[in-house]
Amino acid sequence: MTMHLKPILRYQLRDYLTSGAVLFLVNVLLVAGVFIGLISFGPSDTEISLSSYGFTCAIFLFVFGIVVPRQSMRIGVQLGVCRRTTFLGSLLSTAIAALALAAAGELLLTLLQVMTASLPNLYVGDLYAMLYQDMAALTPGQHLISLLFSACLMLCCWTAGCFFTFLFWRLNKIGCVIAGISIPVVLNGVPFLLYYYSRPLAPLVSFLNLLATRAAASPWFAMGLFLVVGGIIALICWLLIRNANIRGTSLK
Amino acid sequence: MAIEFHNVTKTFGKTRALDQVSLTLEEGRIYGLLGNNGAGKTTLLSILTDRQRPDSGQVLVDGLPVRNNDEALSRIFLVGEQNFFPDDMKVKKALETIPLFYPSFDKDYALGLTEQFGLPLKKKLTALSTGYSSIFRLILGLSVNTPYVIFDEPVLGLDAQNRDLFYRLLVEKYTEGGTTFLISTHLIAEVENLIEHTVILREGKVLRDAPTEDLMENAYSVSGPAGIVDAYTADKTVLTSHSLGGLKTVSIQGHPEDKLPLGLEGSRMSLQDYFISLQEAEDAAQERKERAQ
Repeated sequence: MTMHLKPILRYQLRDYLTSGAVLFLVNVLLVAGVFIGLISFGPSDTEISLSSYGFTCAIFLFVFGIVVPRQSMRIGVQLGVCRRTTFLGSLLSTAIAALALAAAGELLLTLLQVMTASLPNLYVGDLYAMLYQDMAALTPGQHLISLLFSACLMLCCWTAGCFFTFLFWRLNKIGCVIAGISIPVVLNGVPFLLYYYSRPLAPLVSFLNLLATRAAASPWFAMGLFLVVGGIIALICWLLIRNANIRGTSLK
Repeated sequence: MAIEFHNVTKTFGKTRALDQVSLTLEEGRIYGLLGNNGAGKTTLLSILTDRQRPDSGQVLVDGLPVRNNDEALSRIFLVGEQNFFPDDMKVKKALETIPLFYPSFDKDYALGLTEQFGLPLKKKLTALSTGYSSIFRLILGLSVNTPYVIFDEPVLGLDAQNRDLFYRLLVEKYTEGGTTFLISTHLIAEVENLIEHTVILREGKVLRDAPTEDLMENAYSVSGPAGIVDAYTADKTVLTSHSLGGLKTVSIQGHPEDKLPLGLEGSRMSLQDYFISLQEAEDAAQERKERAQ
C-alpha cells in the first residue's frame, strides 16, 4: 500500500519550521536584550542564567500538539490523504522540527558561551547542561547529546498536546466536562496519594523513584524514557483518532 | 474502473443512516445522487472519502479499499458543504496548497475561474459569503482533475447566472474526458439534463439506481375526468394521485402506452416530478403499514 507521505510532510513542515524560526528569533531577541542590559548597566554581583531555551521549545511543541493535529487531519481527508498517513506525517514533521530547533539552540548556546567566557556572573546553558553538567561549557560531543535530549523532550511534549486535543475531539459534552475536572484532580491528587499512602503504594513509588534516579543520572536513560512515554501516548492518540468521525467546520 | 459500495451500513444511535447500501458507479458518467433530507446522501459520501467509518460493509475505488488507503483516496475529490481547510487560510493559499497533494490540479485554470466568478483571492475562506464559499468549492472540483469528482450541494447560495456558468463548465470538463462526476443535490430540475444515471436514496436505502433515461421512460402522468382515470389506472402501478373537482391527475410507474383512452391526456414526467411522486408513494405506503400495525 503506497503512502502519500511526502505532500502532507511538506505541508506540515512548512508551518512547523516557519513557526519554529519565529520562536528562535524571539529567543535571540531576548538574549540580545539581556546582553544590552548587561552592557548598559555594567557588571554586577547578580548572577544571571540563560537556560530556558529547551524548556521554551518543549512548551511550544506542546501547544503545537494541541493546535495543529486536528487541522492536519481535516486537510488530510480533504486532500486525499488517509488519517494514518497524516498522523505519521505529523509525527515525522514534529521530529524534524524538534531536531531543527534543538540544533539551532545548540548553535546559539555555543555562540553565547564564547561571547560570555569573560562574564563570570552569566551562566549560559540548557536543560542538559543544567541537569548533567552543572552549567559548564559543553564539548562538541556533549552538545550533540544536549541536542538529542532537547529533541526527545520536545517530541514527548508534542504527543502530550496531541493526546489532549484528540481526547477532547472524541468526547461528547459531558465527557469533556468530566475530563476537564479529572485532569487537575489527577495532577494534584496523584502526588498527594503517593506521598500520604506511600506504604500501600510502595512498589509504584519505588518504581517511579527508580525511573527518576536513573533519568537524573543518565541523559540516555532520560531520552529513552521520553521516547517510551511519547510512544505510548502517540499510540493512545492513534487509537483515539483511527475510527473518529472527521468533520469540517461550516462555511457560511 | 468504478466506485463500489458493498453492503454499507451506518448507524448513529437509534438512527440507521445507511442500510446495506450496495452501489456501483462506473467511470465516465455524470451521476445524480438524490434523496430527501436525512436520506443518507452526505453520510454515504463521507464514508466514500473515509471521513467516517461504516459499521459494516466496504467501499472500493478502482478495486482498492478506501480505508486508510492514500492510493484510493487520491482518486476522489469531494466538494462538500463543510470546510476542511484551516480557518485562517486564504483562497490564494488554498489554491497553492492543493497541487502539493493533487499534481493534476490545474492552478492556471483555477485562477482563470476565480476571475470568471469574481472570487477574491486575498480573502480568508471563513470570511467568504455563502455564495462565494460555494464558488470556491466549485472551482476546486472543476480544477482538480481526479478520476472521480463529487459535488455535494454544489450550488448552495449561488445566483442563477453563476449556477448556469457552473453547469456549463461542468459539461465542458466532462466532455474533455477522464473524470466521473457525482452530483448530490436537491435542485433536481436544474441537473435533470446533466445527469446520465440517477441514484435515489430514501431512509438509508437505495430506492432507484438506473440510467436517468430509463427512469423517465418508465414513468408518466395522466390527467382527465376522475372516472376515466380510475378505469385506466385499475391495472397499473399508481405512484400518486391528485384530485381537483372532477378532474384527476395520476403519476404512473410504467411504460406509457401509445394511445390513451378518449378524454385522458398523458405527459412525460420530469425527473423532479418523478422523484416527488416516488417519495409521496413511499410515504403513503409507510402510512398504510403503520396503520395496519
